[in-house]
Amino acid sequence: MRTQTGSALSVSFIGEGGFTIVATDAKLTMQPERPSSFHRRRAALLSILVMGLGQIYNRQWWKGFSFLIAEIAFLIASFDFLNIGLWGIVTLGTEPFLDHSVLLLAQGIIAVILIIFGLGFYALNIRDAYRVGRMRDRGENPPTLRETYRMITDKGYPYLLVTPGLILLTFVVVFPILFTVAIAFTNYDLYHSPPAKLVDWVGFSNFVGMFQSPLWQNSFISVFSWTIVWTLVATTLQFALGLILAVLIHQKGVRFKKFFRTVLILPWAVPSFVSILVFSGMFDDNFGPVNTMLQNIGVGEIPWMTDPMWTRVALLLVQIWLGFPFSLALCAGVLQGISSDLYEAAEMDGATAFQKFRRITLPLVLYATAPVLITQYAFNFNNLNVIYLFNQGKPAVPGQSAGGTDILITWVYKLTFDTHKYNYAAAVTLIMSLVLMLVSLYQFRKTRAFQEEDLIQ
Amino acid sequence: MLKWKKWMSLSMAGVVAVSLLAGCGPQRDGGTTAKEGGKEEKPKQLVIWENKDANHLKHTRKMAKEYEKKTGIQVKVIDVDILKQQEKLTLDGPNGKGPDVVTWPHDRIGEAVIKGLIQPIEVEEEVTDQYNESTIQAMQYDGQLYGLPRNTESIALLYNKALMKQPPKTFEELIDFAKKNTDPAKKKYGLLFEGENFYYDYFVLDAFGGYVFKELDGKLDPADIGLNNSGAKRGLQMIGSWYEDKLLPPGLKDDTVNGLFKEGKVAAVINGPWAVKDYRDAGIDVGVAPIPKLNGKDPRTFIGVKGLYISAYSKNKYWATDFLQFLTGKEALQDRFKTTGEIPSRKDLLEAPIVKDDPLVAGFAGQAAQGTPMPNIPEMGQVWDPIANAITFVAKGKQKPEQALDDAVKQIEEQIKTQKQ
Repeated sequence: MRTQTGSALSVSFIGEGGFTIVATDAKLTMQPERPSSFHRRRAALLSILVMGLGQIYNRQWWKGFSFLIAEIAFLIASFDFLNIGLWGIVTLGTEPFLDHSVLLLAQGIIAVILIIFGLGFYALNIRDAYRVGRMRDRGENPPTLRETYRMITDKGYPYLLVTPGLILLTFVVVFPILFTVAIAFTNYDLYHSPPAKLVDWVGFSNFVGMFQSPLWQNSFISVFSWTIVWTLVATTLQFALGLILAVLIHQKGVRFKKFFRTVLILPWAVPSFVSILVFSGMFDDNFGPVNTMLQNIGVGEIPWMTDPMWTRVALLLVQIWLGFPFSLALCAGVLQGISSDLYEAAEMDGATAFQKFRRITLPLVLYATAPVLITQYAFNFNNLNVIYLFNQGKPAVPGQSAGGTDILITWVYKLTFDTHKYNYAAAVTLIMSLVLMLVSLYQFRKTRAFQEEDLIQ
Repeated sequence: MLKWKKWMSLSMAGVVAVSLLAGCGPQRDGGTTAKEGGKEEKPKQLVIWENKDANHLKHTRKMAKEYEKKTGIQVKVIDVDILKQQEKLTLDGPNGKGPDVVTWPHDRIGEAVIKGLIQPIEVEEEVTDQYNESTIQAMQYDGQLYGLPRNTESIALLYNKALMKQPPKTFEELIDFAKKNTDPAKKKYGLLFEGENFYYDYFVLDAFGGYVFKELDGKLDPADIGLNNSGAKRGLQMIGSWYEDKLLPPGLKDDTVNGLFKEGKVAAVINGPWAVKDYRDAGIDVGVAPIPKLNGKDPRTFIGVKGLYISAYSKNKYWATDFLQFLTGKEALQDRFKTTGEIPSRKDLLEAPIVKDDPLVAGFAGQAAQGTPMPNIPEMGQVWDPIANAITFVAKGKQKPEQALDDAVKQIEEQIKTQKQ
């Protein structure tokens, strides 16, 4: 029992500093025959029973009653909502036309979030009662209203400021994610659409079904592999080009640095969807300027839009053009910050230009840009714009439902809007997010390991 | 520490249990709310969703006032984008905020019926007889009538009068003309259209006996696909030969067709009424004619029909049906034609001088009258891409028409299966 007093509940609204004098005074009046854990146990138990009761027991009247009122208000105000929501998320409705499964699901998720918030507050209430009880056990006086207020505005101030943002974040970010996850485990498609039909929970059968149909199997494997290739090649090349150009401009002998930097940033300044549509016209097989030019110099026409391989090449070129200015700007910034001492020292040791690049520039740039580079990979993994605007994922490939240049995200888009397989679309989205999360997590961890090598003081 | 956690989890479990016990769902009175038969009362107000288009709204607002004068029922016109009405109705309908009358292109009827958004209507046969047969066919799903047709739309032959004096009588003549007047090196073409889009090609496959879904008594059978029968294969062979003869370049897009026609480099294109204004603005003297006879028959192009439907949530079915008939009546559709330029679906108006004597409209109207509605079952969504791909493979010489169509139909069947899984 005694070990509890040393419990490591360090983050709390109830600070202990500043009460030492009060505490020593109170110790004199303490009744020695009571067990040392008497108040804290009783207060916590009462708080579990009804919110605020423990505080009232601790003679923190204001806090106790406001907790009590908060609980009653929460239950009265949201009982119907929570009731329908919980019932809805479990059953997804029981009568077609009367119950709208998708709306019930949404309400259910909100209800669960609200309950979690409520439980979190409830837990805080219990812990608060417990801690104040412990203070009393030690013979300290529980903090007065004014002290509590000061504590909240003082130590809890950051939390107070963060809370509204956190709540907003929960509904804007967490809610849609939960909704997508939930849809992936239902049979929500055209033939199970409210109001005429109810949606049901189907467990993992979407994932199983997707991999069992040969048409989808083929599509998924080819789409997935092209997505990986696309992400790696497009991102790496756009970064490499940006880095090389930045290094070239950064050379000492180069004049008109500002001019070059400005010109090379221009592709970034044009809205990308405009440039993509223009490129789509330029690469037209029969009437595009690219092929006209190639023909004039004797190379001949290249089926940019109708052959999957060439469309992929064209897409990579377009993405590199769209993406390198960002890397250029980033790398140029980092290069400015590298101390010239390093290069001078290397020159003293007789390093060649390539060695200086390989041993000094590259590691330092990569170190500084690694987190951004990872987000660039994630961005290209989900780069719907380029693929969809350039050629809608076409050209077609015999024997599969996706086009030759469809990446996962464009395929999901088509699944949702063309075939109304919302459940499959959600399932593919889940798989996609899992892959992205794992890769990003792994890379970010590696970046941190990098950091510990202490490359830069 | 340990004890603390135990307390916490115990208390959490308690609260969850309480909330789950409470979550026993909505209170519902057991009895089914069966409606009593008999004639419904005259409502005070009917609500209609009209497309968010200035001219469409102008016409419908005017008609709403006339209907109120005639029957005393006030009509509220709300503007909702025609392609967003279904989605909005799925949300607004159950909340009781939905309209009585909605509108969208007929090929989305199947989807709406499956979702339970609209209800069948009952009208006398003499009413349906007033409309062009194919437009009434477009309003049917699973053998039942779900709405009344308002306007119809079809592609036709658009020609540059400076390059083509008279539209040919037969398609074979048109192809001969194209052969004589096409020179890809100079970007000169006799006939261009978006050949790799099934919407523009259907009439060729149809002319030789191909079909999308077999129709029987107003029902389309998605299990019977006629896109790889011998007729469809002959049709695609013919299309393939146009690419082989370099009359049509592969990978042709709508934009390119329009661009070249506006530059005066193309004698004729197959396109819809939406293209006419653009062409005339570019200074081309455009003529419009029905597509010439192919294989000795009038080509049956895909037509789109815009209809009016009654929301499944409407409580005023009788009066909504009455309003539907009013809005698709002769006076109303004549006014609509004058206001919006859309081709009416009524036989009497198609024969009326106002339509017949307008050279630009008559061509489209004539073609629409002989067209066949795009299938309105949702399985159609799985047809477009595979067939378009098959045409592309043939156009590029990658596959023979037989192989391409067999593959495409197999893919369509598989996709329909997956869609219904």
